[in-house]
Amino acid sequence: MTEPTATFREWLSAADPASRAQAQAQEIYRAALALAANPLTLIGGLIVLALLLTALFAPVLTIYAPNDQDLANRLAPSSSLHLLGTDELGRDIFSRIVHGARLTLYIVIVVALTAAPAGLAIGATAGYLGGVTETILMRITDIFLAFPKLILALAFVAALGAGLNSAILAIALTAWPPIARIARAEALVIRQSDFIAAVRLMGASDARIIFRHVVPLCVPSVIVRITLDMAGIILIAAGLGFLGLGAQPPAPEWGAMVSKGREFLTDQWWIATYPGIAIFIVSMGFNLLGDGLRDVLDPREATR
Amino acid sequence: MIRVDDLTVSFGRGDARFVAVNQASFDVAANSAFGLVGESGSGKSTLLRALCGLVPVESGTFDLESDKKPQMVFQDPFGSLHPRQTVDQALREPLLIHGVSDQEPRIHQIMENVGLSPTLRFRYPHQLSGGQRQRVAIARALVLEPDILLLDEPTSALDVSVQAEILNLFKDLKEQRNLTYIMVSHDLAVVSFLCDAIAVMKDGRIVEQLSRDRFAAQDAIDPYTNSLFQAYQ
Repeated sequence: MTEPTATFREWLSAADPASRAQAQAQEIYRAALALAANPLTLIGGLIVLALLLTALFAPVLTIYAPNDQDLANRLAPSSSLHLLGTDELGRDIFSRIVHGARLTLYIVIVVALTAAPAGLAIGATAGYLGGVTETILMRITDIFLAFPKLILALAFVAALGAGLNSAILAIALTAWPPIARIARAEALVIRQSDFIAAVRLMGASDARIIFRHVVPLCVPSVIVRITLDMAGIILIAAGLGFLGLGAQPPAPEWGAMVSKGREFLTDQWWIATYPGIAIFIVSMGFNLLGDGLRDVLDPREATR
Repeated sequence: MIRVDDLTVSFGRGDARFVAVNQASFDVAANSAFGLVGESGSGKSTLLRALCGLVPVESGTFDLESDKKPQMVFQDPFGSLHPRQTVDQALREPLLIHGVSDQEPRIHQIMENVGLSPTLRFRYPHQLSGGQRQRVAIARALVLEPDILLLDEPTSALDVSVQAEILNLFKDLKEQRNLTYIMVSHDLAVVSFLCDAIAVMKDGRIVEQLSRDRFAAQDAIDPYTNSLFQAYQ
């Protein structure tokens, strides 16, 4: 992160913003300052940032390609040639973990970009409109919520065939219901407020009220929830990979790597342990970031 | 002229039915201010919300004699402004909804009319004082140029000095824009300052209507109105 110049910081803290863009930048700046003030959040944020950078620069960070085999040098322990050792096919574990970050990030981003907007739209519509619409939408949500996540994911993968994309679809289909419930709870409170009454008096349509006035106020708690859910999503993805139902060989998926390494756990512990540590660190990073985001964004916690 | 006839509003059904407004009737002359006073729960706010369609009417009629929807100014100026929208967004939204093209000059004009400095235009509600927020709420209600403004205790959440400023603003705007007000309040001084005629409500019914002069002289017939006057002294 670059240090903002004095004039830029003045622009961000000016009492009288001159444009909507400046006003919004100031809001983000204040939230970022509050986030960075909490050391645990900062650690979580840095872990997530590290995941992003690792995925982005994976080829630069590694000497070996993730699928390069070197059978003469299989099951080698950590050395200057192979930082984290090699696996049963002589592939460099460090390289596979770094490239595996791309798969993890891909899963996380696709799930967040599909489950969050879907849950938000369904929940906010149900909460604002109420009545029959709410009953129908929320009972559908309840049905999806009644299935254990991993079991439903397993069923989808079984129906659609094993593979990374069906794993992602399965995870996304199980990730939206909690989001919908949160958005509905928020919308139920928001629809009672005077600013919604005011915009109704102006003659705004229901769709306009939901998407321009209700949804923006649900977004913070949805962001918090999806960030906290990320840890679980990564674990389910790894779990599906471990069971051989997620990313298929030779893709360097962390769960699949743990699964393969299990066979050698007693003698060559590093094969399963390092990808396991990667799963742990990234999950914890998302959890810490989510906790910090909740402190900053949750309207019930906020003082402003 | 506004004409309200036997207006009844109730909530719930069967045994749980609660009549919030019971056969209320009154007339309001054009470009005048009409006050509704009474204790909390007397149905005055519900009556106001029924007149702008926020609460369904059970029976009775009302005629606002205006092509434009009445707009409302609410009691709590913090709760009536969207917490994530700047002043500019709040004032632009009604213009966007109605497809008004000259948005920039209208926003400038209305902010000037209600005494808001242009420097406040891109602030969020939490960066404004109570009085400033209420001026934004008034500007938002007026930007579509309604004929009727419904005021729900518009000054009761404000400091006394700010109350006087806002009341004077209402008085000036009424003359400048030829507005008709219906105002709900429990503050008799506020009502007698602004209103030309006053109705006293108790348990959903209008028990007495008084002109400003009779109200100021506390010349009431109904025992409940007299008890209100006494309690206020």
